[in-house]
Amino acid sequence: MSPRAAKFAPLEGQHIMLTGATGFVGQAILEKLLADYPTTRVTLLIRPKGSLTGQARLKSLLRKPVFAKWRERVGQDEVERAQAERITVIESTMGDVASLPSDLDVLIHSASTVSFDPPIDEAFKTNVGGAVGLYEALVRTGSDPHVVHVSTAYVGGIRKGTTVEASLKHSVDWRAEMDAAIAARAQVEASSRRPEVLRKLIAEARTVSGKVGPQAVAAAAEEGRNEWVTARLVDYGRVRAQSLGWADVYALTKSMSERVAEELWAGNGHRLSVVRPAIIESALRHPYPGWIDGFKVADPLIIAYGRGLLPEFPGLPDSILDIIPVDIVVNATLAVAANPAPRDEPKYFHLSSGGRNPLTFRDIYENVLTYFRANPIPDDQRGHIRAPLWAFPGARAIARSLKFGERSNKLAQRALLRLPSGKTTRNWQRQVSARQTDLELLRAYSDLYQNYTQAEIIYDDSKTAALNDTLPPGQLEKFGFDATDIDWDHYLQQVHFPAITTLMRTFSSRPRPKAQKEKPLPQVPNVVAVFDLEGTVLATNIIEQYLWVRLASVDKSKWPRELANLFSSLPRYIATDRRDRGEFLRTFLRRYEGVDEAALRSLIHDSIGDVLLQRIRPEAVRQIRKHREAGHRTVLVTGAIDVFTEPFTSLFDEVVASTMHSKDGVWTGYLSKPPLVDEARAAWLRLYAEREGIDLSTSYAYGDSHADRAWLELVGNPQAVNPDAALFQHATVKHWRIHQWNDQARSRLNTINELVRGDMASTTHAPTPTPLTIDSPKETTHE
Amino acid sequence: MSRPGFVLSVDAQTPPLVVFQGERVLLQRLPSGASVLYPPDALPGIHQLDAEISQALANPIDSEPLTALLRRGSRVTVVFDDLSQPSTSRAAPDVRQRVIEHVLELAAAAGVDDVELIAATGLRRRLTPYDLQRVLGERVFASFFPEHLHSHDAEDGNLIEVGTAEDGTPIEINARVVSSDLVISVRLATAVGNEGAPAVATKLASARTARALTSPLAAAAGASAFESLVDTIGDTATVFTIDVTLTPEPTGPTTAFLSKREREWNITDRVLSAGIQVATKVLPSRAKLGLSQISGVGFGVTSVLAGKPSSVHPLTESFLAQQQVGEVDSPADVALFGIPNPNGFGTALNPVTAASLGLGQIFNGQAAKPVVRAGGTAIFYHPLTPWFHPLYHPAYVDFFAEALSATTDPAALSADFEGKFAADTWFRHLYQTSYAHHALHPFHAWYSAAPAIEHLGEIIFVGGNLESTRRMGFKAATTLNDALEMASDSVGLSPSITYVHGAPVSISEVS
Repeated sequence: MSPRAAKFAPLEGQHIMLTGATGFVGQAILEKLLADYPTTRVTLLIRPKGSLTGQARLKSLLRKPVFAKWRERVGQDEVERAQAERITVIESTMGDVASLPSDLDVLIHSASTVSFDPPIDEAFKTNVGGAVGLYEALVRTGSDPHVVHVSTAYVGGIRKGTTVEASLKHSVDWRAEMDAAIAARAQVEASSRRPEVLRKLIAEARTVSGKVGPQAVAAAAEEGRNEWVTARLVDYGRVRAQSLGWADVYALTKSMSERVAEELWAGNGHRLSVVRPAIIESALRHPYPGWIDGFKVADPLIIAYGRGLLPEFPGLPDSILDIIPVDIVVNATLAVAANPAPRDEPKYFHLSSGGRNPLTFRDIYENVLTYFRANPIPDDQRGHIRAPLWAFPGARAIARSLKFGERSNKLAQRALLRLPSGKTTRNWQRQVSARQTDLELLRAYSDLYQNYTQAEIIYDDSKTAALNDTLPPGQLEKFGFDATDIDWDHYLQQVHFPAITTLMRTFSSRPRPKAQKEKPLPQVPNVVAVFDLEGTVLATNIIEQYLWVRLASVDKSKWPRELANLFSSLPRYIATDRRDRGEFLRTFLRRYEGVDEAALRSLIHDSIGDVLLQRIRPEAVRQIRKHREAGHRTVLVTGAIDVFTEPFTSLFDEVVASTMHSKDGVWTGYLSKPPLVDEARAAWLRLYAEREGIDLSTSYAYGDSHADRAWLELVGNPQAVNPDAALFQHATVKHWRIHQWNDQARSRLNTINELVRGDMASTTHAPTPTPLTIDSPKETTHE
Repeated sequence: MSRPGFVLSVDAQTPPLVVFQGERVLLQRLPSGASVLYPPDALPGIHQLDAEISQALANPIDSEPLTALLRRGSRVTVVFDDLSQPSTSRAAPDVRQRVIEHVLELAAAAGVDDVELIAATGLRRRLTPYDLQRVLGERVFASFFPEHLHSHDAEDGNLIEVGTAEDGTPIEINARVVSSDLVISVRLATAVGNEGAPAVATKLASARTARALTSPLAAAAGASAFESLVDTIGDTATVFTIDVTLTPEPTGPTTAFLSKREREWNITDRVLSAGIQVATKVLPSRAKLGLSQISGVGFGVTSVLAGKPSSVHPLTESFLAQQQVGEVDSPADVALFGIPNPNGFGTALNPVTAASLGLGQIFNGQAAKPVVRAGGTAIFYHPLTPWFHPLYHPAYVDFFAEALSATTDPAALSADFEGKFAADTWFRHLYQTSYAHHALHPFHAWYSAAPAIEHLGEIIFVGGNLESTRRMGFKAATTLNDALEMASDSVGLSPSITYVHGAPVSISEVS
């Protein structure tokens, strides 16, 4: 009998170093060591994060739910004592390891990237470079700890049949792959700067942000380039992994890092054990049933299913989804740590369930279906979501329908951006973008899990089982790790699903937007509230204003010609406006050529002014007045001509408008200086703030069009008022306040009817009887 | 002699009755035992209106004839009621035009050059040129507008103090009026909603005066302050009044049935009624507003009296009293009122106006005394859509959104909000240069409803917008049965019910 049977005290008095302690497995191992290995000292290798030092991270780590049971049992004093006496923190970044302690007995290396699809260089730097740095530093200490290298079962690569617990058989040179991966970034960066790529990016940026202004286009193009680089590097990683026989870059780099361990550590005559867990999920028993730290690999899939987002899923019904509870992984890892492998003969352990207690994809599906039918996820207003039934139609059919869905949604999105914006279209837009999120999710899952849900691979875990058998029977409860212990139905229904749905509810209940109640605006000094005029304060546009001027000033007999002329040019104006706001203004205002300014002023004073006042949005007036009440400076900035702003001047502290160039009191049809639109307005606002000592970060800006984006972005409280489709999209993404102000106080026709009837004022009795002389507009626009 | 008003007791044979509800006309079956109060039939209108006017001007009461008062070189101001009084006809000239044309002819004959026409708007909006043309006709309008024909402005500096009220409030009146030798007041009056103001000066005072005298905080009764200004205003101005009484009459054959008693409807009336029922259900709201034009009531002239105001007014009042329903036996537990939207293109009552109009009927309605007992319930039919005219009602928007959401108590409103509104430059700008009601107008409308709110236990609007009713401290019900159910807490399960049939009439320009 082994002496251990008499007194079972694994790792007694030993000094263990742990990497990746903040991760899911890492914190579980730390907790187990603290709770059930009372004499073991732990050194943690923690990467400082932002302003948080390693110590600070440890402190917040110890407050996490995983330690709750332990703290409850031993008390806060004991927790603090343990932290002070048993834990040492070494700050280090992967690949740049400081000097390690020389008295280590065991090193558990469980740090790795959490993403499956990172850019290739990042994956190699973290998973391979991190291991290289660590083992080289360890060699330098001259000590001889037993290294437990935490890998993944998926290093086995894409294959069929049973995989055994042994060193990986491949001849890939990790150094060459590492060099190539690091070099890839430089190459991709270089090729992203090729004119043909940039030209395409600029063109795309222009269609999206052209209206915002040239700076926005440039910024969007550069952002597009960065995204392009990342996407390329992700692609590099995925395809390189597949070309070598691995599912993704994660599995590839993890297998490379096993080689690193074998070469740099075992190869130097040290003891090495490799543990390869499969998909790690919530705890079966310890620290408490259902403990989990955020969503793990399979969980988003399960949740997405429960939310009804997965009408079908590409997976083989008989394939095995190899799930293993985290406490089994922890116990197995620590058992491996306590039983060092012989020198020069590394040991390998699969921590998996598929070999002896397989769970098929079909089993999971049935369990999920049962669970969500019994505990449906509440829908926002419409009761509960009914989980769909799957028919497992195969990967191809699903890929097809997914592709179709993506395409049609993209088309809908594009179409909506072109439609005039209104309440209905904004609703459609919301729906389409919600659907877009769903589709993206589906696409991501389907790409990611394809390799797992279609796996026909079985991980043999006989060595792990044998190790478990060496435990004294009395200790199995506390230290055992037998995968056949798991009753899947019980585990899924009672432990795992409740854990992750609770998690989801706590997530989704957090940012619930409260009903927006009208609050008085904060009284802050040096605040400006900038308002756009047309479409924001005023439910009208300059084309309509022009129409009023014409109808009020020309004889009825000339109306048909007038209207025909205006309407025939409308498509051109709309197209111009879509391209560039300034260009549109310039083009359209040419129509005012030959107008007598004094006559127009008196016309506006007598009649058009009241029409404009009718078109003003009551909510806008209230908002402006609220700003004034709060002591903010209210400014109206518009590209429209100043005479049309006259009825509102007393509403604002300042009005900035365009002026027409005039010669002897008659307008030439040209603006006297460039109109203050899009980025020109942003530049004006910046300058204005500087000159007047305005604090833009606490200021407000109200705009309605994508062309307003540039200057809305400058202030701390940008507000979109009845936004057009593109601005709506932007405002939604940026969480700007979106106002829906009432448009149709009076119908447009009524307004015109009252105007020409003389409800506002009589044109025949205007104090200045000079009739407006506008020559019938010639086709004066030169494009 | 027209038929007097009468009270119908609802039994099983009573057909459903016409009830106005905003732009809709409902046929409502009332519970058995309810009383229906029908106003008297319209008095016959005056056929020879021009002759009647000449006659009144030539033989005024307690005054020299107008021709004698008009002297060469004198300063004459004609003040006339604005659209708060209905216009008399769609087709023929308005009675104001006809009276004023007579007056102006006499003035011209007497060689008076200095004539000015002022619409006595009080705190209401200016009249638009279109309104002025409609009320005064093209001829008057063309000769006087805009220099010598305009609306009273309660805000401009051109107001003169003519005295003080008991509490020391200065009484400021339109300067042109005060400086005139002769003020000719053309005053229209209807039986229902008659303001009963003794002096024309109340509608020509400054906003400051109006505010001080109408404030619920002021101790002095507003009207009594103007008592000394009935026959003369200031030192020089003598007032000569021309009182015209109006009576509602059907506007056309199509909708005549709406003012008939339902029992007397013939087949055509029934068909028309069914048609209107269907139309109000099917049509979109904008078209429904158009429909209200045909279903409205018009006004006919029943008397013209001229002379010294203090002598003419009592006669007018007693004449109008004939048109009210006589004595109501005893006030009921529950009173029902319908409120139609005013005639006019695309207009609707804003909720504050609708409420004050409806509640105004409690003390100032068809009957001489309130038809509902103190602590009783009033049930109104109106949608109370929170819609405000963009030009006329800017101050109402803020009053509704800000003031009423804070409090509905007149004293608190007056203390917390009135000052701010009165001093608001934007509202003043809109009142003076555009066509907005004065910023104090919503306050005064609300104060006018206050006695009724005080009098009543419950106020329920059938079909009322929930947001509006909550804001104003009322309740909303979907049907009459619901409303009665809600009222049962305070008036019991079998209350006595009185339905005041017909429309409150002075709603021609409340929007």
